[in-house]
Amino acid sequence: MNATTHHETHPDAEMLSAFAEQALDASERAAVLKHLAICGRCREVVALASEAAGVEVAALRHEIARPRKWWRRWSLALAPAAALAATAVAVYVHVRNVERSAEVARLEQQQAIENAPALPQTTPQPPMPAAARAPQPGAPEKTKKTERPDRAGRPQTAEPPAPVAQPYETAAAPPPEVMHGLFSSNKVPSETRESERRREANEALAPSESAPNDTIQTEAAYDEQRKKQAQEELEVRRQLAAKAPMPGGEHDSGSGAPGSSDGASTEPANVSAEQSETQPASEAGLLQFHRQLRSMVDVHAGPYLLHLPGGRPAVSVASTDRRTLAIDKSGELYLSEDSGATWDRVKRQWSGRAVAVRKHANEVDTTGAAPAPTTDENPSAPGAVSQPDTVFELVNDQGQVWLSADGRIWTAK
Amino acid sequence: MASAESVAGVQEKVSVSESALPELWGTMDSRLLDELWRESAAAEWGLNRDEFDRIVSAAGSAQNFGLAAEAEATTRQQAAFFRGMRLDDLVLARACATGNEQAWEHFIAHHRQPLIRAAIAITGSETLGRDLADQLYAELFGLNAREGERRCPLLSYRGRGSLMGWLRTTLAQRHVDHFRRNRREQPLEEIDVAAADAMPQTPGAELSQLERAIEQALAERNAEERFLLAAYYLDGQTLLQIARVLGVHEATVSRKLRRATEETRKKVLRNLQRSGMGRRAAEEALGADTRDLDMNLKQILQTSQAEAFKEQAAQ
Repeated sequence: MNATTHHETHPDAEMLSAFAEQALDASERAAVLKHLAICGRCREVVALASEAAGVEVAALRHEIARPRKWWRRWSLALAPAAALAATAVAVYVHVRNVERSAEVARLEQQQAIENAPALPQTTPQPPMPAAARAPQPGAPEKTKKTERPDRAGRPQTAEPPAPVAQPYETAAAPPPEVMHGLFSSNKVPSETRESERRREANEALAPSESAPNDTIQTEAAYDEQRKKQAQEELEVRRQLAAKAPMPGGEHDSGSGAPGSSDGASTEPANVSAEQSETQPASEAGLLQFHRQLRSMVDVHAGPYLLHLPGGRPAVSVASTDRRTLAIDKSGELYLSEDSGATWDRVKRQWSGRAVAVRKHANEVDTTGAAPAPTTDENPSAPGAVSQPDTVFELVNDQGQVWLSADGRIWTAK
Repeated sequence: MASAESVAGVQEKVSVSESALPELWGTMDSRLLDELWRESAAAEWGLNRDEFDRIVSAAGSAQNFGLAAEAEATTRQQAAFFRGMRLDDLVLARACATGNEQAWEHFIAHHRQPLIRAAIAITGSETLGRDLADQLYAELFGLNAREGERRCPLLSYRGRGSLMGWLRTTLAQRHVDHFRRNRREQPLEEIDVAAADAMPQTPGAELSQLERAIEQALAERNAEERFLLAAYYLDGQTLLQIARVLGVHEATVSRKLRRATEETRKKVLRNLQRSGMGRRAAEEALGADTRDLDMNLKQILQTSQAEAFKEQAAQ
């Protein structure tokens, strides 16, 4: 014990502190307590020190248990919640738009199908003047082939760049009046229109099983569509049988080549010239209308019915007898060699986002002839993607075109 | 008793429990120092092992390991002594007193702000509190010199309680001493002048009997009851303040205080009856005006058994 101030013997600060902290043994505590009972100064010291300790403890407790501001508590959670809500709204709006556009397309297609039989019965348009039927000076000749080197510098025969078709998801079905206008269009050379009419007539008169399929659909929808097509073809045959043949020069009414004026169809317009000599004009017009209907069905109904491995709807589909190619909404390309039963994802060999796939124009000429030589066995061989083998075209979102013979190996056009 | 050689023979055991310590008299055992070094956080503020050993040995020797002056502590008693104290705080205080910069940095980081807050709480004023804390801090830093030698109050800290508690109590001591010195310098206008004494209604003989009975009753109270009575009735402390000092709940203080008051009253009545006063007269005497009593309860409480602590301090 230390002697402190005022000529009195007081416990020192450590003893008083230890007393307040219960750190003394019994004898020391009793001695300090006896002193505190008679010493007002030490009682006051101990009381003040204990009060300061209580304030310190309370400050620490308050600091630990102090509630945070409500906006601080929720600020960290607000940002992710807002982002999540925005994402959910965006996804919802996008899905609604896709569903709505699909529904509109279906309704328009259905409406077009319902209105279709009445259109060929309208009064035939008067023959256009020869000047109007002549090819436009600036229009490219679709049958003309050009020589250009391939990537390795070897010259190869390539077709002139075809007009880029719009993506199927953005193509709208033409209204009935536009359909009617297709028969009176004069923007396509008469020779081409004549060939197209003849080819369409041959296709329409041929058995439905042998008609080339442009799209792959699910079995139920496909069967239903085939039934409709059969009924329509039957109706067309009946109408053709009832009508008299028309002179060969007045063929303008059925000259609406898909893809040349409305951009909704991907069918090429170059047909062999010898077919244009034997096909009556009215028959060709009806067959062209029928072909247009089928093209619309293929474009607007078919791709949405596919179920691709990526889970996204197809926006563009093209097929030959052996292969089927489909592009989904994300731009991925899938290949099926078993009529859509199984799909393989094609490795990306193009830039941008693929938006459309279609049969190459040159392949159409060989559809009815011998099958195109396959390049599956040796895809890397020279000339594997040469012009006669090229059967598919892929178009990206920038309008650039890639060619492929087997759907797996793609070369920039 | 074991020799130093026998202790050195079992050095391979790293962890040393108290029961494994040998009976080594007088000097500090190296294994005990090893264990204390590992348990302490002295290395965090840059204290090396030699400084630590020197500080611990000096602190133990200064208090003779908690034993009487003539007693000689065994190693177990030394270990028990050090485990009963705040060794980290003790080493920190001694390291600061010896001028260790890293120890001062640790002290400032952990005790500077609590010291200021404690001073403000004690004085009830931020200005006075900061002045008080700065003054103590300057002394702790050794700015005060006595007889040409710098004196650091941290040297008086022995690790019995926490270092922060010691700092708070030191602040309170300085504040109370300063207040008591300045209380005599207060102007006379602020001192209430006592009213003139009226004629006492109670006879003088009864008053003198009552004063003696009260003195005897208070003298028979134990230390805790006298502390409760003095703190509550003389100092005006609240039950919460008393409870904090004693480390008990307020309800406990209230219960003990009521019991001490009732016992004191009964004892006063008994003392009055022993002096020849009847029960009714004794109760009437207890109802006398306290202003008629010529006695100083504060003086009575502070002189009774006042020698107890002085005797222990003299030992």
